[in-house]
Amino acid sequence: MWWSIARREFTDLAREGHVRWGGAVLCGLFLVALLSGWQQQRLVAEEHDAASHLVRESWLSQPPKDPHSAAHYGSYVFKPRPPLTLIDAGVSSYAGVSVWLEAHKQNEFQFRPAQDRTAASRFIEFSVAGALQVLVPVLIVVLAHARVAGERQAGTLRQLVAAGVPAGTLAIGKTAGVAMALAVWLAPLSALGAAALVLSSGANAVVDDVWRTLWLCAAYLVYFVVVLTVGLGVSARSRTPALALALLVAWWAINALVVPRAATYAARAWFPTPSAFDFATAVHHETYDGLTVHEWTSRRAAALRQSLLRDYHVTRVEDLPVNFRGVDYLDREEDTSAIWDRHYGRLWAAFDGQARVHQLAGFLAPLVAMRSLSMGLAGGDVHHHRHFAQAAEAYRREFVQHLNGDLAYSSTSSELGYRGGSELWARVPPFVYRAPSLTSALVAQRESVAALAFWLLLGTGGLVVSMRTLRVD
Amino acid sequence: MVGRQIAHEWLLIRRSSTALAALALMAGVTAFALANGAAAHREQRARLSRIQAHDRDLYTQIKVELGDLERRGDPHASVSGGGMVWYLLHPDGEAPPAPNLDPRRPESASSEWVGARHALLWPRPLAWASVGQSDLFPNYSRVTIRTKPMLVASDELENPLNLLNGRFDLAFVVAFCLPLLMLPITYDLLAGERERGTLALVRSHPVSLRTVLGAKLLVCGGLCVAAVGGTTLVVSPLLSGELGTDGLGLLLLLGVIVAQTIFWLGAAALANVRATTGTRSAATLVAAWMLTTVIAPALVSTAVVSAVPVPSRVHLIAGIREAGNLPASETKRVLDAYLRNHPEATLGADAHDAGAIRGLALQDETDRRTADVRRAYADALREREALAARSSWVAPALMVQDAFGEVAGTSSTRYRRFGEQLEAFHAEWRAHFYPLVHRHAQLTARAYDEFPSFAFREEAAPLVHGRVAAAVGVLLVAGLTLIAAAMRALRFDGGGFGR
Repeated sequence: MWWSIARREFTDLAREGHVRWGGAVLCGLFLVALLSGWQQQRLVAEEHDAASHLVRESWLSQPPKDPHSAAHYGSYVFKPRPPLTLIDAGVSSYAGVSVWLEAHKQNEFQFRPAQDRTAASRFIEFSVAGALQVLVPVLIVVLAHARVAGERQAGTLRQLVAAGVPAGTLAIGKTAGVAMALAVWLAPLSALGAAALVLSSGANAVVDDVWRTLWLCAAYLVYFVVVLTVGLGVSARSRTPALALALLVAWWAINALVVPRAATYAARAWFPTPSAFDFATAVHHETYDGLTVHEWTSRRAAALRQSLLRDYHVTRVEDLPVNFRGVDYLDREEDTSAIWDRHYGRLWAAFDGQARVHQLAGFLAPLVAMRSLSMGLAGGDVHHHRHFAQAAEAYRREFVQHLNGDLAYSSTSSELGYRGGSELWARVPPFVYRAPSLTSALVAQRESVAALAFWLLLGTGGLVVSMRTLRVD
Repeated sequence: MVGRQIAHEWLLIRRSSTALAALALMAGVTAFALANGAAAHREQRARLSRIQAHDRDLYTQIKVELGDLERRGDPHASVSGGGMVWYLLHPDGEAPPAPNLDPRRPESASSEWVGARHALLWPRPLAWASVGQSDLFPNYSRVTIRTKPMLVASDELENPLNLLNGRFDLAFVVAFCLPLLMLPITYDLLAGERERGTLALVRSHPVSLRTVLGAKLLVCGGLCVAAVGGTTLVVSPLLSGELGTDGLGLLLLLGVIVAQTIFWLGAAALANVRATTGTRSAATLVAAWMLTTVIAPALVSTAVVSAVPVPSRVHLIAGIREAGNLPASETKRVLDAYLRNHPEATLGADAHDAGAIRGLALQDETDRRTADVRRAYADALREREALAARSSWVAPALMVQDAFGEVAGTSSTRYRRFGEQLEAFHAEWRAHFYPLVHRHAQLTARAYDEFPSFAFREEAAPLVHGRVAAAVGVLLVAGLTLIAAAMRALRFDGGGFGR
């Protein structure tokens, strides 16, 4: 019997002009988002490859120079965009795409793509994920809002109930009918999305990410079921289709517009972060311990002279068998690394706290939960950005200390003009990055997964209860 | 008759819990948005005040140090190394500051090591109305003698997730929320009457449908403006006490609120006249909102980005890397060319003096190699901004957001002006110090009082206000046109209500 109900619902929806128009508009927008995302993905990948090659070439082609000068010349690393960011770029536009790795300093990421765009891009990120998270629910609301309330208004609900249709059967039938109407539009779009993924990143890359892709598909499926069951449940409880539509639109607006921004307010209030100036000032104060740079260096030099002369049993700096500059740089890099770890540790902890707030907001709005989970699975969330930033910092410390070590132990203190050459530059390996595992991504998004599961239970449970307590007028 | 109609509509709304709830929600979210915007504004001002105090204290400390150093005499020394070499090769406890830290040297005084100072972009008095782009662009930058690509080298520390979601400010409420919050009050102005079967009763009275619709629009519009605009007027004096006042700007903001309300009243009037049921009217309004507030801005943004590509960052980084990787022969060529072009410059008395000149030469070479990319980038951003401004007319939400950004001083335009003036100040800073470095001058405390300082020059108020007034005008004209179309439809065919 549920199949008959589903077929009838599907037929009714297929005949409604505004449903066809809505679906066509959605398809058009999805295609534009897909093309735009594919173009962007391709450009970023080309730029990333060219940049990485250029940076490595410029590193290897350095003329002979002091190794510490090479450490200051440094390197750039560029954040790669995983294949699934074609679907959901997450925070990529706001997180900075490259970072300069140099001695002594842990720099911040530069070049936020959003700064190159216009203020219009701050409204809603126009992407495939945006279309799926924001526009598809609107289509579902249009499809679902009158499914029960419309029948009540037309008087046919009384006949349906009088025929003895069980509440569960009615719920399943109506859900399936609307789902079939939705699938008419979403199925070809999904196929197009999959083709675009393969074309943009290659089949191998997609196969490597196949579990992430499957999880992403499953998450969106759950999300659409949530919206559908909530839509049908509201329709069942509303006296008129107009009221159902108004309530569902309000619910959608709260999901898409209000809760994300209110979550930003709460996140910043409960987990404040310092400004760049305050952060730099705090690091400076801790590094120099309240002294001027001159006073600090002067005292450090005196202590260094004393310890080196004692350890190597010589009386003059020039007689040291190691290069005192290199020894100092090794030591100083360790000290400053500990300071950076403390300050960045606090900053990342604050960002983590803010991310938790955003994810917990998913219990108020399923769109917020889906947005977090989607960007997490696609590799575009703050967790992935932090993972890359920490990998880049580990590489920086490794190559800087490698160069400092060469200066310290391949030359002596009397060799003020020691130079490293191409052999030394080649011993520094290129930066190779491995993205975090799917498990790590899911753990980082555990609140979002829980919120989505909560909404699935709430939606389906609410629908069943609404159908069981259905009023026919 | 109109007065009686208005009184009747007011009575109906007072007895509608949905309408009252919507109005209360409008006032509530407006108050929350104002508080949020004010907090962001206060945070910015406090940060800039700390930076200003830091620069002041720094110069005080430098002048004290200069007093001590005057007793030491000539800053030039025989030790040719810098950094730890300088300190280790001086006898214990007697080392003067290393050359890069010596405040008497102009190349150090103008660098990040000693006397670089901050250029600040103070928020405008009405910045509480719109966070705008102020969370994405830095409103301060430390200006040094270094290369131009280093000029705005870092951004403000902000969680990218917060940037993605945006802020809950008054601009957001008026652009996004107001049309939706008006929906429960406006979706069945007339369509609901027909649906409920009370239209015949209404038409039996000696009052035209146009008068009825007009009265409904006046009452609904007045209440919405009172909820949002009234809350703003009540709360803004509480904010303006500590955050400054801009009476004309506030008036323009109220104008935007009124214009946005009239636009959506016009859309509601037309939807009600054309739709046969309240549901269709509501669906039409929701579709109009989606199109103009969600879809159109997204398409405009995508179109602008596609139409005007910006140069790849790779070229900028390539220029910087090349200039930093010159072989000795090329460095010599660059230095020789610099000395030819600056005959007043000399290599000075010691290796540090020569190093200072070489530093300037290499900095100029980096700027030369990156000039084309930086110019192309700035041109592309300017073109994008102009194209976006021309395209904003397709979406009321864009016009509202831009108008708020202009009045609040948080628009992309203002930050672009800051960037341009920053670059000009950087040139001024260099122009002040290059001659001093060329002749290896020894700076005194008094010289620090003569260092250039940055003061942001605001765009002429009439230009800013003119743009906002134009947006208000367009929205008003569009809204009144929609209302006129609805009234015309009622006049000639009853809008289908006679059938």
